[in-house]
Amino acid sequence: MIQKTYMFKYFISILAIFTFFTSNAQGENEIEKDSIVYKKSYGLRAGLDLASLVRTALDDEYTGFQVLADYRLSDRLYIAGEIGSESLDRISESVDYETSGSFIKAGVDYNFYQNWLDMDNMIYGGARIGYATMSQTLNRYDYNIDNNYFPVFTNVVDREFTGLNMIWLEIQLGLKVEVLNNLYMTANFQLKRQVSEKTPDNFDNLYVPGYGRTFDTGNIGVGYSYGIMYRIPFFKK
Amino acid sequence: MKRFSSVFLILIAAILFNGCEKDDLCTTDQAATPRLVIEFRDVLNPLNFKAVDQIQVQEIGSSELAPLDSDDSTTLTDVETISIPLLTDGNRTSYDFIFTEDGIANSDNIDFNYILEEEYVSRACGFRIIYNNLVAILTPETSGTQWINRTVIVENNITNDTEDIHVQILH
Repeated sequence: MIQKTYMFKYFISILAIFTFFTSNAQGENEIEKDSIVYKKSYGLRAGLDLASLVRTALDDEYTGFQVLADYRLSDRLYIAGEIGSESLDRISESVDYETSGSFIKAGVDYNFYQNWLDMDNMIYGGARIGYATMSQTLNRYDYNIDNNYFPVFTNVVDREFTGLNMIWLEIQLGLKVEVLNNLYMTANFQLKRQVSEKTPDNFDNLYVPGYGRTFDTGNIGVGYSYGIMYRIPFFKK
Repeated sequence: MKRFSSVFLILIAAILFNGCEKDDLCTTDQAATPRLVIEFRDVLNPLNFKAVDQIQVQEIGSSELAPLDSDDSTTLTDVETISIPLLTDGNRTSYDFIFTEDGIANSDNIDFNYILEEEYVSRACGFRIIYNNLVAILTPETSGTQWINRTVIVENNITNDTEDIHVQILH
């Protein structure tokens, strides 16, 4: 009986020691897990907008080129911007016009996506302020007439308006996905709102580089972009 | 990865939607080149309207009758007001006003002179013309009777044809 109690005590103490060790080991494990931090790559990411290149190839009336860039500030925040030039030579029902110029957009991207392990992808929301400077040429126009009693009189002209500009605010929703080491595919959708513009005298800005076409009905614009980017890694943190 | 593909689908949908821009249509509520609005008044008492029994109007260079109202009717009976188009490629439109009473037609000619001014309307509608410094000259006839006694310019800048009256014809 005494022996039995002794045996129990012995067993319990072993159990206690075992629990101590295991719990201790667990604690160590936890610390170890925490200490594995996947370092994020910081650097300048630069790339090309393929959307404007594809449209240049497909659309006879359009030529465009756009460079994309961002720079990582912190885990989720990036400085980002685009710079480019566009020209459009448009023939339409009542007005033929030509616009050409260049633009710059600057702002930030915020990554909403929680990456697993060492992945480095983004689902991001972006904010930009955009500025475009352009010239526009009116090539042909008709008069809006409510009857057809007289033959339509078409005016063929060459009226150039220079020194035009526009400032707008833009929000973007997009993706940046790492497909190879440091090589990213990006795509985004853009919603824009005009802040100010210098329009031609007795005419209007019908297309604005970087902003896209304008609408008669309001000062909201839309756009999209897709392209490839490469990150030049500066350091890891 | 599921989240990526769903966001990607949204983007594709947005891009496709964006590709289908709504057509720019020139709707009738947008400003058009105004017509010349003419009132018929009584020569004996110019404060009173005097309807014409039957009126047709023809531009001297045209083989067709001009539209007289928003329905583009070319012949109106018992009417006090008509609105007719003016040429947009020169400073003059010359119209014959054919007045028919008891089966007898009487044609009088009026020249309308003006200065053209262009005004941008919209991408869909293009431009429009407004006519400034309107002058109406009744061409005197050497023989026969004229049904028109004289004309009065009420508004010499034609910018609007829904509210304004531009010319009175007294007969």
